[in-house]
Amino acid sequence: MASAAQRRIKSISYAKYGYMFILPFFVVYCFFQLWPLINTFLLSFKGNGLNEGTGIDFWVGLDNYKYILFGSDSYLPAKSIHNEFVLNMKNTLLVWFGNFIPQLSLSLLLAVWFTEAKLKIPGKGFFKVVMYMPNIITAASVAALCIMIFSSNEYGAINSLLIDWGVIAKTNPIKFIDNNSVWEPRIIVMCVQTWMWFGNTMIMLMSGIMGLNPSIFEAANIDGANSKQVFFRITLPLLRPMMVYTLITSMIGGLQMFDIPYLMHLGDNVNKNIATVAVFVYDKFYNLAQPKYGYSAAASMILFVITGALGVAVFYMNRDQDEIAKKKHLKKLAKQAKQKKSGFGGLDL
Amino acid sequence: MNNLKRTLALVATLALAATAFVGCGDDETSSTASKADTTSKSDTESKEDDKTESKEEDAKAELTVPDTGDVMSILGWNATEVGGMIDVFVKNNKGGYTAEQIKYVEQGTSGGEAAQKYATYFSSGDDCDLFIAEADWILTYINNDEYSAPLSNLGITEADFADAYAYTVSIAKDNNGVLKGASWQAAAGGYCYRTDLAKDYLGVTTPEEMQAKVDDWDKFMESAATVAEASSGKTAMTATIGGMWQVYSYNRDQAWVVDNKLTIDDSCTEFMNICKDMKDKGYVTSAQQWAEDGSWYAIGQDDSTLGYFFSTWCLVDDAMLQNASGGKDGKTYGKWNICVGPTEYCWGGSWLCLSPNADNGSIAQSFVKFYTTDADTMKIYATEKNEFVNNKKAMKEIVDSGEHKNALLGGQDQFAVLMDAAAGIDLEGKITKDDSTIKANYIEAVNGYVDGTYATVEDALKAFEEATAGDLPDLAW
Repeated sequence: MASAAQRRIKSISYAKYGYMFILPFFVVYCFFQLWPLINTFLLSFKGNGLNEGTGIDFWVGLDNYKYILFGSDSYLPAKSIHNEFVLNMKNTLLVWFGNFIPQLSLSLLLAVWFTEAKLKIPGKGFFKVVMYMPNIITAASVAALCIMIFSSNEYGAINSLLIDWGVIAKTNPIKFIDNNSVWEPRIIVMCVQTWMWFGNTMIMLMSGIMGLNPSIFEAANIDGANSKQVFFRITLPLLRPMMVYTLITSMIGGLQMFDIPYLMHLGDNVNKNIATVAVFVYDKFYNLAQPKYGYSAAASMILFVITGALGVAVFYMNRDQDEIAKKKHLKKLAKQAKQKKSGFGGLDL
Repeated sequence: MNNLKRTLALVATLALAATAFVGCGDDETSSTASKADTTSKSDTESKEDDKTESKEEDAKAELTVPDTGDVMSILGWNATEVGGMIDVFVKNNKGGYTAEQIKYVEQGTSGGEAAQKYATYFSSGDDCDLFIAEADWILTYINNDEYSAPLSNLGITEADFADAYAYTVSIAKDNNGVLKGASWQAAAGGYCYRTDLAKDYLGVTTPEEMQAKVDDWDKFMESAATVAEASSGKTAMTATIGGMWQVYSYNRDQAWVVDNKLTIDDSCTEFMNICKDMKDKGYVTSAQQWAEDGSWYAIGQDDSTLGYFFSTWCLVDDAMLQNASGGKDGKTYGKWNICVGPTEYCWGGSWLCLSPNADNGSIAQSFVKFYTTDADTMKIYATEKNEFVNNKKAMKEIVDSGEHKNALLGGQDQFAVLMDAAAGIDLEGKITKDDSTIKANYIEAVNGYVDGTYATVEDALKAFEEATAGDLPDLAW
């Protein structure tokens, strides 16, 4: 039996101070994150432009979603919005695949090299810093740099080099970032994204590899496994959780890719062949001529659903099969035991 | 003790939360908010001000903008031009205003960009007294009372613009006929060409001879062919497709939007064909106007182009033509001349508009008057910065004196050339509030057709129409 003093101590709760300290976060979160999220959802059911009845202050039901996803044959703005969204979605996926695959292979290779004890690479620290560096530079500077290097006329760095070497004629420079070029700017964006993010992925994978139990690698060495076998049969399977994490974060980041595709264009209009869905959302929102909050909000809701669905799919596909099998087996055993029990009227024989 | 802790925790919480909210401002004053509110607000404000502010005698309109701010902010997108204007104003104004009292706030690097950024800036509630607006989109701003206030609040009325070019006054009126902007320039344009190249390839030595070579579009094309041949394809006749469109479109009879419908007429088709032809024959370069890669200016120094279509504001010190010459010590500085070109035209032009939140009335009034109504001070600016100012009297005096020389143009007086063009400018009913959006889409379609992205003119026009439909759903489609 507890004494009176013990009971009193028990009744003092420190939890409320904890709540007080985390309160600011939740207040700020509600105002700056939660409400905008809800508002975005609401806005996606409102109109576009400033006209009476169809403008941004009027409810239009599911029209925005309908127009964005299915377009319309008779109503030109809807057709235009649909085509633009489809193109932007295609760009997003293309550019993401195009940067994720080389990025992951490059980072994986480098991560394995850098963590391999047998390889004595001089200046490891230097290389790590240099490879991480592009990630520190702001996207705006990178985009500006690209515009200068890949300028579409005969004065751009690459074009003038090619002209000097006689690869292309002066009158026919490669239109790297022209607003009407299709594949050149896409490939440039893929390369830039890879270059900017492979260092980051490499550091993450390295930490994953270093977290693996070294005794497994030692055992493999003693058993005479070569480095290829070690990589494919030990490192890669054990690195799976880290890979899933990388894949999911990269996917979310990739689907929301904005800065480089938005900034890399000449003149006033964004290049529609590299514009991503995030660019679509921004472009429609910040349009002075006629605000299109409805399209903007609806597109971001669609993007949210797609990201969520893909995230869940990736997560499911990468579940640990052994773990699942084990769980299933345990469940089965439990069920059998239960059946056994009930079969004999609860008597354990 | 417990109480103290609690209080401290609460204070800390509140302080944290408070800092997070700093800078929220009033977000609600975006374009969605009703216009009526602000109108009534500014009305009551001006009524209150009437009682308190000292009244200027013998003026029809009174200065009703308060003087409560310390620094007057001017929003714009061209640091060198506005910076130059502030310099000249500080040196020559009669009110004794100093450079510390005027601040230039840059919003983007081109007019189109500024048009987008202003709305965001205004809704942030930051200080703004005057802002600069361009012909392409001025109507969006002056027709919204949240963004602009009548010039009569500064004590400036239409009567003050007797010597101004009429079009600058008619454009700056909103739908109710209220004057909301004042322009300091008349934006007539001409054809600027390289004198040395013109002599080599066309054998001309004076602007008059050059004018004869480019007097209409047919002659222009003939000369282009001669230049291309003589330079073996190295030198184009003109710099950009966008620049040509400025000249070409001035002669359209219709505005882009008529009866709330996009008008695509024969001139649009015709221009596409001309461009394709010129591009194929190398009469126009692949550079783009306002492109971040600097190509627009580079072609002025490496003999890639014989000339540019430039408006008066391009000939100002530190502006486009000077950039195209490579600066004051540039390779082609002083090797330019200007002539009228195939047709007289006008390109753009900027207006000073008053923000409803202005709080530096006296300086703003003095600044606007200095640049838009006072012939003497406008003359100073015209001669110092080579700007074609919006005052017939001042310009006539300068041209008649024959003393004005522009070193950039090798001593030629561009005012004499542009004077006639400026007098003929008529934009009545030709500009709409969405011109900048439509024009950008059109030029992109033209570039697409010229590049071969679109196989036919019809495809290009269809793409242009579709892009515009997406941008401007309020038009009748």
